[in-house]
Amino acid sequence: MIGRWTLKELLRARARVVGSILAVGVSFALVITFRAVWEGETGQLAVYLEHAGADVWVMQAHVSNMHMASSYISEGKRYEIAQLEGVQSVGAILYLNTMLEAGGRQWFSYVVGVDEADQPGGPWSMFEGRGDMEPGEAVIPATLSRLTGTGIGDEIRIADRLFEVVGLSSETFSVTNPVTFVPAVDLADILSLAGYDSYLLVRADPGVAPEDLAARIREEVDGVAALTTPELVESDVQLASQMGTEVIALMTAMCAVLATLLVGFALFIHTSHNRRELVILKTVGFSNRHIYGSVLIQALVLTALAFAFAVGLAGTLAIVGPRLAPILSLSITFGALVQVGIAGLAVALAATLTLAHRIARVDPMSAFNQ
Amino acid sequence: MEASNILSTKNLSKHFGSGAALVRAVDDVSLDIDEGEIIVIMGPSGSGKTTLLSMMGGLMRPSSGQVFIGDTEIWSLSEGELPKIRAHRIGFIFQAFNLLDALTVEENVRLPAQLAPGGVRAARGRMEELLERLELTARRRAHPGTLSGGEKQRVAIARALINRAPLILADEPTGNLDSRKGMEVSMILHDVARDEGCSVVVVTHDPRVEDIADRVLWLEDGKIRDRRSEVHSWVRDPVCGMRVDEWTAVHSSEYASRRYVFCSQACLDRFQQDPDTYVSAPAAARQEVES
Repeated sequence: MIGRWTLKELLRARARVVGSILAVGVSFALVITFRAVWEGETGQLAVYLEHAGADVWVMQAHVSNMHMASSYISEGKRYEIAQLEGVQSVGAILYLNTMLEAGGRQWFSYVVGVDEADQPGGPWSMFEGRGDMEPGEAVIPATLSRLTGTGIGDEIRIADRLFEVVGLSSETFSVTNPVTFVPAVDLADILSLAGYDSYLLVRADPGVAPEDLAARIREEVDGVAALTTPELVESDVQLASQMGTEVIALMTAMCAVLATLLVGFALFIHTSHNRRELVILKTVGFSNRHIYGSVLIQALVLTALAFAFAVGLAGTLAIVGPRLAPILSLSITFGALVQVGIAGLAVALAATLTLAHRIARVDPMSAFNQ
Repeated sequence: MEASNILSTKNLSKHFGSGAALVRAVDDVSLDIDEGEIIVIMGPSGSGKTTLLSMMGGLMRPSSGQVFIGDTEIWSLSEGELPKIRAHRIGFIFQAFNLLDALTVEENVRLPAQLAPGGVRAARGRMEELLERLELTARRRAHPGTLSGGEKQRVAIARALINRAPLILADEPTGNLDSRKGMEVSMILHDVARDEGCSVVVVTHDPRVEDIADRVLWLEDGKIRDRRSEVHSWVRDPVCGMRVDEWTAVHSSEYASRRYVFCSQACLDRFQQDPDTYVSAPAAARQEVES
């Protein structure tokens, strides 16, 4: 019955409750959106690796990432690996993290030098133009083209070299690591490297497990590291997560504190308005414990509705956001929702605890003066 | 304590302040209330009536003394135990009704049953019986905001009775009601004590409630005494014609160098709006003319 009273009281204060839900919901939505942006960006790290067409990635010894990494292995390793049992083909890319200039704007980019012959690791989905490049030509992400106003036939600068844009690729843009493709010979010139590759992209023979092939390469070829595509993806995502975990945790904590304050304030106002009712409940025989329970129910209802609102708002942002701002890449994960849900529970508990002292001090004697 | 005593107080005192500012709101009050007995406690404003009632009901801790409800000395219990006593052994009725506005009539009545063994489900029959008896069945789905004062007080009485508490404590139960509804509520309390066997303690200024009392106690300066032996000075309320004790009446007004007393605030208000009507033809005289 006290539960029914609790819910009916919330319904009676609709305007206040809706205001609280919106305010708390927005703070939860911020957390979900921060996470979604981060997950989206991190997920983009994997997109190139997953589409490059390799079962096993071979790189310089002691290197285990592509993100924020440098790797150089001698060209001879490509032929050495090609001779191994279970290897179907070996491709190679050169790779550089650098700034490129497009449309007068500087943009950090992964620059991938692709061998013109068979182009493993080149663009896999074209939005416009062509993906096969001659020396002095480049393929840039279509989103980067839109953001910088650089189209087919325009020039971009990488280091001290100018490249003509001949194609716009899909699925290769993210804020932190858009992927630009140039011929390997041009990138080798920029790096002043001859006879070196950055990563080897190895395809396994049918029936050969990539894990076994990677192990064989590590065992039989000196001075290289070998990881399957899922292992390299995991390693890159882990590295990116480590770099962002503290920032995300701080943002989550700040929003959780904000949500706690908002829920606490809403309950404080609600409890103040219901002081007369709390007095009545105490005279009837309800204990502080019952009333804490009632306030907790109110906190949980507010938080649950705010959470639902936040999921809806963040979901809408995830759909609409990238259309309005192509720079955004949002990915709402179940894990992020669980995390915010748990934070919501903690918020409800914390907000209730802040009111415990106030509830305990409600004097049933005031029933005589109401 | 006698076996049939529902409520006993032993040397109960409540003092506020200290030194020269010491106020003895209740001073060494001892009394026993039997099963089914109706006690009316009267006294001037600020005489400590509500303080005494609060200590009896486990709402205010006394400075000294004891309160027994049955065999239980309630002020020896922990703060956590007191709500249970209020839930199972005491029913409260207040001047301001104190109903929960968000709940319907039947939900208000049922509310304390949540704390009783068996819960709300077990109390369904009892609730139906009380709604029927207090003529609230037709209003069971109404919210307090739509009820008259008399109906609200009947809901409060039903709520006080739902858990079959042996003791009903009522603070000015007729204070917000006109004379007819006040009498109606008084009679309900009388019937409740008779039929349910519970003891009723009523704190009031309203002399009409005396009519239902087995004992009338007078509290003044914190001391209590039996008032049945005292002499009354009965006069008529010029508005409603009700008999009022001029010595103890709370509502009074001076007009044309004469003091008039009233049974309730409502009668006083009506008098003050147009005193000539009531002075030139007091209620008793008007009734005679009408008859």
